[in-house]
Amino acid sequence: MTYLPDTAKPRLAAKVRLKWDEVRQKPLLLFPEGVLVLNRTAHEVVALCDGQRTVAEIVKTLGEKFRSDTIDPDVKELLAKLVGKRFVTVAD
Amino acid sequence: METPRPYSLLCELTYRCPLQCPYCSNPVDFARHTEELTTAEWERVLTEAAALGVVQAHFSGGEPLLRADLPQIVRRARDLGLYTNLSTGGTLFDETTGTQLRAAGLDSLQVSIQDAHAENSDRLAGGAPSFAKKIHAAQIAKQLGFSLTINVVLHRQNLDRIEAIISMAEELGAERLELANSQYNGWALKNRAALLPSRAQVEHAARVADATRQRLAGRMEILYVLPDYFEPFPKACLHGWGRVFMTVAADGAVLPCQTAREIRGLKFENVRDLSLEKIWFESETFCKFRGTDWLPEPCRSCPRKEIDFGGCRCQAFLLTGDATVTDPVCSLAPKHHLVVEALAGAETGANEKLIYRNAVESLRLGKEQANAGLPPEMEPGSAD
Repeated sequence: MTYLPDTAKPRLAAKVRLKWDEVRQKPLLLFPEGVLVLNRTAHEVVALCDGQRTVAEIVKTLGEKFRSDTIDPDVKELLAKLVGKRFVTVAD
Repeated sequence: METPRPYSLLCELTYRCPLQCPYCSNPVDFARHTEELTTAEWERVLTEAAALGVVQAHFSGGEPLLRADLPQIVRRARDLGLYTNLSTGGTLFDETTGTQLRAAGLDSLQVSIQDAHAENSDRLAGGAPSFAKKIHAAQIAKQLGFSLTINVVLHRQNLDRIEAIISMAEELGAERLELANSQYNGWALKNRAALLPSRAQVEHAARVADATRQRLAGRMEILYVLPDYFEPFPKACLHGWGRVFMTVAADGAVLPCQTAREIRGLKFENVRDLSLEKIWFESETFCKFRGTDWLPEPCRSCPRKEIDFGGCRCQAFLLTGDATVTDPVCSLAPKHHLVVEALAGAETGANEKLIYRNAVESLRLGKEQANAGLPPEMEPGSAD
């Protein structure tokens, strides 16, 4: 797995959309021929992948939100997985 | 258990098509179903689908670009918040249409190509030469900024060019290459003797796909689906009958999958008569094979029953004449010998003559099927 550097600015890949599913009351990632139901943490991370924020900023925002100092490795691992599946890419 | 709601809707906008691929997933008797839904009817279908829980709409055909209202239908789907995919043969895709579809918000585009070898691609697609148009369509799609998938159906007559097929997709700048081994239902079953590959072909292609996947990691995604004939267990067809997926056919018939029309004896409700919600939750056909309660042995006591749900119902019917039995591709199925015999036939050479998917053949084969007691595929000898 490739971890993103703290300064990288992740964003959703062009083919991917984040959607709040009103019927199921769940967050979804939509992509060609597939759907991924996100858990709460994944939703929070994906929602911050806007190509503006850096990895460090995303970690900081979520750490504050969840009042946790130990969220760093979880967020970074999740981002690495999302990049591996090409749902998330790094803004130039 | 609560009945799940569908995530995905396949809209087969028309059964008309300029191509005649001999492994088409449309029903063999497609030419009988000519009353296409109107634009307003498709818009209503999409609205009902979104309310039912569908989040993805796949538009295919036949050739969906034969519908002049395609951009309008796509726009409607996007307005409803659906993710939109288009599967096209590419021959009718030009800059004007592409621009309209882009403006309508189409999320993803898939162009099918039959082979990397121009003449062979043209021969397999039947009808007028199509290869050059397909390449052009893929190039335009890239220029317009679409997320492009190239789809190539694999079989005996193109598997040996797997390397060239991958190079072609790479050169076209595809983000995704779907190497889909032909599924032997419907038209492909009629052509099985000409299309079913040898094990060596399939395994070589799998190795090449695997190596290339690593080489192109991060650039082009490669999907290689092993043909179920070569696997010990069946596929989880559609992740289970009536579980995540539904199809609305060109004439409004609602099907659990696009080939289900091949199963004789099932009644398919129509969106012109009933709501999608009622059909999904209450129709006899959708309830018939949903879940695992209906399963026969050896599936019923099998630890894999929640993984593959007994396999493909269409394949069970087409090979044995009975849709309620274990999919014969399963090595544990009582009728597995039907598949073993077909595979043995494929090792010793094949009949190359193809039956093309066109209206004339469709009417002829449809009549033949209606008259027959059981489908001809029941006889093991049909693999030649």
